Amino acid sequence: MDLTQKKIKGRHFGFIYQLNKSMLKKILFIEDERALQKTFHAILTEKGYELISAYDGESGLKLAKEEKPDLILLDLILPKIHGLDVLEALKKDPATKEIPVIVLTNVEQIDAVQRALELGATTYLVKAQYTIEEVLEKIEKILK
Amino acid sequence: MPQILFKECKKYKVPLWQCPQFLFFIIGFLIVFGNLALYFLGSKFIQDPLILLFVISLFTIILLTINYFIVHFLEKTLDLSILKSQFLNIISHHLNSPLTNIKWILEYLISKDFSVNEKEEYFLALKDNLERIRDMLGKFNLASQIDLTLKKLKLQKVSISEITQKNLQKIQLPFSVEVKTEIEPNLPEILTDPSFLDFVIFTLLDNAFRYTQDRVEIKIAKKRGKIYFEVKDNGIGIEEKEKKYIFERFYRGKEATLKWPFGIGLGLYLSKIFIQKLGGKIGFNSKKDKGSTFWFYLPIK
Repeated sequence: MDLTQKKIKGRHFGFIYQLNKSMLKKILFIEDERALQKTFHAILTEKGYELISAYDGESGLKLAKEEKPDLILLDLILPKIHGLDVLEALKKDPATKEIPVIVLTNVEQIDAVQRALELGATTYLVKAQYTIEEVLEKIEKILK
Repeated sequence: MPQILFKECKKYKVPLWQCPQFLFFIIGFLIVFGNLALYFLGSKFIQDPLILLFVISLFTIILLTINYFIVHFLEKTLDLSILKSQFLNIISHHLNSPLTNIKWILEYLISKDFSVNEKEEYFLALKDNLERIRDMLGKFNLASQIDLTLKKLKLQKVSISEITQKNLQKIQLPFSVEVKTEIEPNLPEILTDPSFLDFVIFTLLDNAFRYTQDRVEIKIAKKRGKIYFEVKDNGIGIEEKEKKYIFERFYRGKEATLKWPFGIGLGLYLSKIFIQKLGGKIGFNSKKDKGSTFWFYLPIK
């Protein structure tokens, strides 16, 4: 699904884009690091996903309820609300509890890993141990 | 009583028998029993009650002193061990974050062709992350060689308002903040170390902008023959129980960590050392959810 090409070729881009956008799988990325948001936005859009960005825990929770994404990528060290509290709130709310959550963080403490998995995280990835490609593979596997 | 004891011991994360407070308690009991034993034993051999009292008192003082030193030493050792693990946590998290960002951005940059404009944005992000590492290592370096740094004190006449203005320009505002500056005109230059003063002013301003809601007020004036600097924000404020730790090495408030996870808890610690070395005084007033005012006084000459 290459949106850029369609933009050049098609006169009815607006229509095609909207149609495609509604079909795209939505990923909510709750991460305060702008550079990572930008990189993931570029890569996931290329891969045919729609990425919604939240830069703190509070707006992440709000967007999760409003947008009902297919997957949430969640950092733990976040402004306003800590990632583990976000995860707890997501899993308590009937509207969001079924959404798979990948915790994507640099926090390596075993307590945090255990707590995240207990709360219902689908998987826990320590950023430093993975390449972007490997993270993408995990995302695609869950969304299939 | 046992709850308080367990709570105190929990923070050290060691078995109960290694916990200083618990040991203090146990040794205290032993001293009481020791005294009783000494009394019964002593009363058989020593007839004069005054001498007996003197022997028991001496015995108690010696044991209490030994007890104090053992517990104090153990407490110090455990505090150091907590500090060490906090330090390692900070290092690993704070280095890991920017390094992973750099790694992932580079992986993406290598993966395909970008236009010069597109590349520029990613390069700026790389630069930001590298600066975060450099800034952090710089502060660690300052803190680890604080005695050496303080020996390098070089006094010269400087204008505090100029240093403040320069630092205000350095600060990148993440969102819109109303800034009010109230600088008394014709302030005298002060004889001080410009690099120390620069560090302190940057730290206080950076914190104020980092933790504020939407307003920062800066005031510089001459008060009681000294230069007074104050920066006030209307942000998260500091909890009452956290106030005594604010200037401690590696300490970060809970709310502050949530709002800005990348601080390392060295800025205020170093600021206090620098201001004291320059012959001044630093402090703050704060109320949770209302904001904080950090201030310092410096002598003019």
